[in-house]
Amino acid sequence: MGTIHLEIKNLRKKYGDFEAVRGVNLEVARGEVVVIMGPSGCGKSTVIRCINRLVEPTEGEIWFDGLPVHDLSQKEMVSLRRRIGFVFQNFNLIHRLNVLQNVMLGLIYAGVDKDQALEQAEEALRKVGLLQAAGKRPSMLSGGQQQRVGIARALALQPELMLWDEPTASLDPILVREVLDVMEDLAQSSGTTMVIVTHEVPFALRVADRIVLMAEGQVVEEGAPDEIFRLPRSGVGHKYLEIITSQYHDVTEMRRRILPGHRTEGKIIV
Amino acid sequence: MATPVIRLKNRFFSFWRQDSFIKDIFSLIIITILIGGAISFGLAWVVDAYFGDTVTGLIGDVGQYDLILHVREDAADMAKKELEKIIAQNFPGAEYKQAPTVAGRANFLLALPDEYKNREVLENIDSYFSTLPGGNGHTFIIAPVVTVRGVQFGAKGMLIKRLQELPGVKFAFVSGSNVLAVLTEDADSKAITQKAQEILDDYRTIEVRFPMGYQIKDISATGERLVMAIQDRIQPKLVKDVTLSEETSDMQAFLDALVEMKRFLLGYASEVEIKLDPSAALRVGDRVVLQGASPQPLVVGDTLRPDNLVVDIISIQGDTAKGIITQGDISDIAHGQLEFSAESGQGPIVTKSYRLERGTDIGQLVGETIIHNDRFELMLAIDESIKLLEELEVMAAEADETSQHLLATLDAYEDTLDQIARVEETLRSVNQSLDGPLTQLGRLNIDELVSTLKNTGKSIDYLLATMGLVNPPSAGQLADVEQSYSEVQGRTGLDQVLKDINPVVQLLRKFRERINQFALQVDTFGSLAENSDLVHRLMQDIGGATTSALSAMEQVDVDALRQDLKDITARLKAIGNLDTELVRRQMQDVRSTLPDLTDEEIGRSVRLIDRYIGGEVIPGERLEILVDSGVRADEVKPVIAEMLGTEDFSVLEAPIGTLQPDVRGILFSVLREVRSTIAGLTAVVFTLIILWLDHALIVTALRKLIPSRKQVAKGWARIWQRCLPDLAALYSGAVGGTVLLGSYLLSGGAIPLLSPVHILIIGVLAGLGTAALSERISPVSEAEIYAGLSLGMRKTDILREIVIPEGRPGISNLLNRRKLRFQ
Repeated sequence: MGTIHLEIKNLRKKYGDFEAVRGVNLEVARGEVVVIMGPSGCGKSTVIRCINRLVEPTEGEIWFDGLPVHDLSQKEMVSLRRRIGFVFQNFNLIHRLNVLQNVMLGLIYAGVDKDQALEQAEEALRKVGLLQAAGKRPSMLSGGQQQRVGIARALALQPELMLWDEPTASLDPILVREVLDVMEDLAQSSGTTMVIVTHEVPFALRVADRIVLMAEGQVVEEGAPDEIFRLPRSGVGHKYLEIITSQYHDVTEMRRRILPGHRTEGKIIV
Repeated sequence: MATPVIRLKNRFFSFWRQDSFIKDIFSLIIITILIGGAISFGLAWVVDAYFGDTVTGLIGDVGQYDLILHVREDAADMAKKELEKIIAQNFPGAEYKQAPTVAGRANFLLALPDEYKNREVLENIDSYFSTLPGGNGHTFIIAPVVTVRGVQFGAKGMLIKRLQELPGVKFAFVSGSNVLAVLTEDADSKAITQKAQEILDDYRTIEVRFPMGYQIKDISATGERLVMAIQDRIQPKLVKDVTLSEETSDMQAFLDALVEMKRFLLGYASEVEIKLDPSAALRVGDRVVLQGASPQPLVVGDTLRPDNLVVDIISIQGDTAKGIITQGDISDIAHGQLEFSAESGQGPIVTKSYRLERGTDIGQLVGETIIHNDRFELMLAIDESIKLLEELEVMAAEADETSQHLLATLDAYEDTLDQIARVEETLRSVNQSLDGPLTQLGRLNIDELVSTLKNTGKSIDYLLATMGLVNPPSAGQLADVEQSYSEVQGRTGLDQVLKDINPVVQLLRKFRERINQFALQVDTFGSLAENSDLVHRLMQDIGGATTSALSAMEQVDVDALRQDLKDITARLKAIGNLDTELVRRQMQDVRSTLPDLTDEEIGRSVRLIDRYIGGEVIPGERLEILVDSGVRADEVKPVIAEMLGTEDFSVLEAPIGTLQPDVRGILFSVLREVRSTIAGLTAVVFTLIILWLDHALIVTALRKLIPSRKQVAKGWARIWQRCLPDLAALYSGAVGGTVLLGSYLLSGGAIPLLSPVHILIIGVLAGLGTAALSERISPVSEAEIYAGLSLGMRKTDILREIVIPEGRPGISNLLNRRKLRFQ
């Protein structure tokens, strides 16, 4: 493991009497892709939102690049968030702005020169394959396209850390593919540290350096994808294994079937 | 080192220089207040201007016109022509304008030239426009003016006098129950109003009201007595009977006429006086029944008959009640009840009266009733006077003739006197001739004497014949003349003539007889010598008789008698010259003008007049005393009770009038209130709209942007914590209160019964209500806020770039446009 880019210590979050997150600890190395999985309501999204304090943690520490995120002022958080890209489950595009403006928004408010911002935004859109839709309103795009705009918006800031909050959860299966492809490309090519919350097992197998399984607000198991899905130690892991074995013989077959290529950096071997 | 003031100043400028949403909010609130104030004021001004123009269109500008003449709508065209004619004839230079027709009444605004703006003209303005077709009264809009309304009847004259003494008051005049003081253009209306109020405060009226039907015969005398009694007992600075004060309005003149008519009618009505039985508990207003024309005597328990007399009791003093007949007439009264004939007017009618119960039933006997009727007596007196006039004419002629005879008689009297004097002379001569031997000369003298005596006898005969006219039968006739003459002229004279002459006449008769005897005896003389003794005795007899007659006749002052007779003749002639025909005709006219009304008609008319003027002025039922403000009604009451001997009255104390702003002032005051109210209400509505359009969105966004408080308390404390408004709600309440109060005050709003504190509370409540409903009023996309946050946008930027542009179009949206990076 390289240098620790993100560290979460004993993170807790309460909503009234309900404790959504109960002492989560997580370390993410720089350039590492961590996929957090678990059943709905297990606290995955809360954890990921606590990282950039879109949700204020109740307790615990979050360290990002040596910065105590949990202790930062709102003003400091503004600067910090510009270093952390966030992709939402529901795209969260600004409907009054067109695609290009949506992508430029963060840049402009980060103080980037307008021309520079435009250039960066177009680059980001090109990466997600939507440069031609730059002038369109979000409402004119498909769900997958909207999510790609959301990804471009996050990418445009050239973040050090990308947080993905179930980016395909709101998409129908046909559209999921295009988003996952973009994500996969980014994961494989950008070298950006990523924390991805998803239910997509094949995707996780393909991109994750490490998978973290959560249940009832706690991390129940974590490890390399093969390790997790071959010999799960937790109930959640077993359930994921059942899902895999319902369609494939084992993880190896699954990996062979779903991954026609292989990772050049050798993390995932096809 | 910076002082606190400088630090504060620096902070202030620093705040306005920084780029924050709080500054945006402050700007928004300030601009909102300014706009709200302007809109509220503007709308109110527009409404005010509209109504003001309407009012001005209706009644002109202040002071432009002096009065509005109202006419029926259908007569407007004719009235316009007539109005022009009236103006040309009576008010040259006056201007008029037809104002809008309101509720079927066409209106003409009239501006009088200054020379016609005076008390005389304005108080009699109705008389000038009495020929206006469809005329329906007028309303004074003369300005500047101070109006005192509801001025007590008797205080108007005094009030006008006092008001006119105030500097700045041109004149004051009466209009109905109001007194209007017209001011000079530069007068300080407020100061004069205040002084007028001080005048009003100086006085009050004490009104003494008697029960309906109660009659005071001499209201003026009673009022004077009451004034003196109050003066003696209470010694106020001012006390004055104003019951019958002069009143100039037409209505008052009409009321006066009615009151006079009532008095006139009552003067001719039969006076019914009932000597009450001790057991009869009769009260003013009760009714009693008399048999009247009915042949059937009244019996207790019977029903009232149409030919019975009904009397309304109008006063009771001791055991005597008085009343007026309201059914029947005494001329129809049955003769069995008369003590004297009503028609003859020789005396009262005496009959019994019974209480009338339940309107139709004959009740218990109340007493003996005596009815007088002055009307009948007056009619009789006029008839008798007319007869006297006719007699007087004849008698004057006869008396003149008689007087002429008397003068002739006096001439004869003087002749006789001369004859007798000559007899005396002759006698003296005869006696001298008889002193010697009876000679032929003596015989001649006796013959001359006899001749003289015969002439004297003839004179006496003539005198007596002349005076035969004035012998006893004629003396009676003269006495009649004398009486008539005395009645007419009030002088005497003829009786003295008769008194003086009649004894002389008796003496002359005797003298005449003596002359006859003397002549007869002389004829029997053969010779004087033979009968010298007889001659001497005869001469002595006749001489004595002559002296007595002469002496008696000389005692009558013939000249004085003649002068008296001449005077009488002249007076009689004067009587004869009187135009008795004219007098008779006038008296007949007077008789014919006597009301040909029955008692019932008079009684009912009086009752009707009382009813009509019941709410106005009822001298006889009401006394009005003007006093200074130190006199109280309860002080006066015992004085009145003692003076009138009754407590059957009420005493009211009232101000002599109430100040009111002029009609236009009221109207504009109402408009000002309406304007203020509209401004206030507009500010409220504006604040609600602003809260809904602008601040509900901000409240919703704040709730999403600012983490809610941690719920740490438990139990009751937790419930209390939940009840406390959150920061966003506090913001909303503060904005609501600030915007509403600011707009309200800036617009000059004033909602009746609401103080600025109330307005502030309403604003705060509106803000809190908006906060409670903000999520429904202006939902905000949480996803977009999170997107902004995730992109490293400041909350200020999120609000400006994401939240507000997505909100409803309001002031914040407008102001925010210049802050947008992406238009």
